[in-house]
Amino acid sequence: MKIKRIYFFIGICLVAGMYFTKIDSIDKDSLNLIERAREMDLEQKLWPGYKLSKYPIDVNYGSVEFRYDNGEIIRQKPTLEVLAFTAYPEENGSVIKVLPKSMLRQAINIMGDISNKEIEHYYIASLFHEGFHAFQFENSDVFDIEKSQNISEEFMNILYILDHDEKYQNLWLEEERALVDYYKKNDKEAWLIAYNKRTKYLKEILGDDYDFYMEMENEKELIEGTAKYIEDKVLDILRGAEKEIESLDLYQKGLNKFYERGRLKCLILDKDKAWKENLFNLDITLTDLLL
Amino acid sequence: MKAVIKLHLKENIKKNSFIIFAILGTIVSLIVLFELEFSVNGMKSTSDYAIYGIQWRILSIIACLAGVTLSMNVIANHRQGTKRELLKLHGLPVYKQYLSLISGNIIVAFLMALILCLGMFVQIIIKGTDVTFFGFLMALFFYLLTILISTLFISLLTIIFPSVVAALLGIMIIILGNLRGTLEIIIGNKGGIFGNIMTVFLKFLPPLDSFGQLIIDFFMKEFSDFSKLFSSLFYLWLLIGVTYLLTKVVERNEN
Repeated sequence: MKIKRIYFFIGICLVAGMYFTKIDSIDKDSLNLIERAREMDLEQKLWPGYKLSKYPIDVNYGSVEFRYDNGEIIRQKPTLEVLAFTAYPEENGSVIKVLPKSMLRQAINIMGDISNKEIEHYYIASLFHEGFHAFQFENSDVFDIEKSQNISEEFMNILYILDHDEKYQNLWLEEERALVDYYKKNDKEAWLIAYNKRTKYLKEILGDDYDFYMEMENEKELIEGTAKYIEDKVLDILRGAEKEIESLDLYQKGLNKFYERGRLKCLILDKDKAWKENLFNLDITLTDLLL
Repeated sequence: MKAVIKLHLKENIKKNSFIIFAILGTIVSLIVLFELEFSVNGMKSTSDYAIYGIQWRILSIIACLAGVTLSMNVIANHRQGTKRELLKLHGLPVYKQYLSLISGNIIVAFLMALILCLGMFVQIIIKGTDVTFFGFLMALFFYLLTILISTLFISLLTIIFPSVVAALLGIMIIILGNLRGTLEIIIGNKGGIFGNIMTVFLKFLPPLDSFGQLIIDFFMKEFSDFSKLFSSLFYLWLLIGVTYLLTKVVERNEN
């Protein structure tokens, strides 16, 4: 009987604890990071015209969502059916959709080896990444950004074939090394040779699909590569050290490689060109700018 | 009840397995220590977080799996032998016998889990990490709760299912429980009916990943998530209640 009483007493304490810590606003950790990101936004000029603080931020807790809009927090039903970090166009303008920090932490810290500080950096950098997509939504007449976020099945099928083609993997890695050399030693010629070799092979194996694939590849590099460039810039500022540029030894399957390659091209362009102004309205690719 | 627990401990505590666990734990600690120190230097940064975070995580997964192997046959063997009827004659009801066996499983699993950590404890003393005694004790407490929750879950399964099925389910649940947060986002990202159903299913899994986070949070003095603390402990509280009720139901069915 005594054990049962203790058991129920503990239960009441736990229920009370859950009640007092229940989500009735954006949690303290996430809110603190959103405010840190906005402070950083005031100090830094990451891209001409881009201001993170311009966009409302929705933090999705699954069953409930809170909108942070210029210091005001509004409770609402989740407007996205899925859990995601993304930018979303609404009638009154673009919105940044994120998850709370605790959810991000639990999702990426599988082995328990990423410190809290590092997670905070990732969270802030992700806010800037998704905020940049919101900026792209509003500043592009050329690309249908919303469409480009929904990856077509046709593109994924081609990508699957390429990801399993050993010769293509080697050509991609060869171009990757040449791009890193272009960045470090300004060796443009070697990159051009590697680029032409890869596209020649792509024409051979893709035939009529070549143009479609290249259009998608260039679009991914531009949209995601520039967002990744912003994200890594923020990470560099937060860490107080620049991420070292190194070529990969292993081929990355899936879409991530376009993020990284796009970013690398942005870093090369940063060296001697004013290339950012009005970029998303120019109907031009990062490769075009490098050529 | 105490006598049954003592008997269970006597039968299950074998010196050899403890030595094996101590060696296994030390090997894990040494591998993580040297491998990570090497890669951490490569990144030009030091990270106690990585070194101890990975150790706590790997050791708790091994200890949970050890709990599966330890518990898988206990209830089945007890049902087959004569002890069950004998104890009943001596006035110990079947549900109390089951509860004693489960308690025994948990105590043995705790001992094994502690021995697994010996290598890491020595490492903490020698290396002199920036950790408080309170933080260390709390980390150890939540580490043992992780083992408690998984052993309790497996013991529950062995009451319902045949031992092999229970062991397989147990291993699957430990893996899924450790990936619960990641799976929640992956499935939540898919959306749709399947996503919604799976999200509900995930809620039933033991929050082993949350306990893992609490361990390292306390250890590295970074704890702040009270909501996670209460919800994880509430799951454990419910599981203890379900175990008690289930043993009662099983007793009634068996009679």
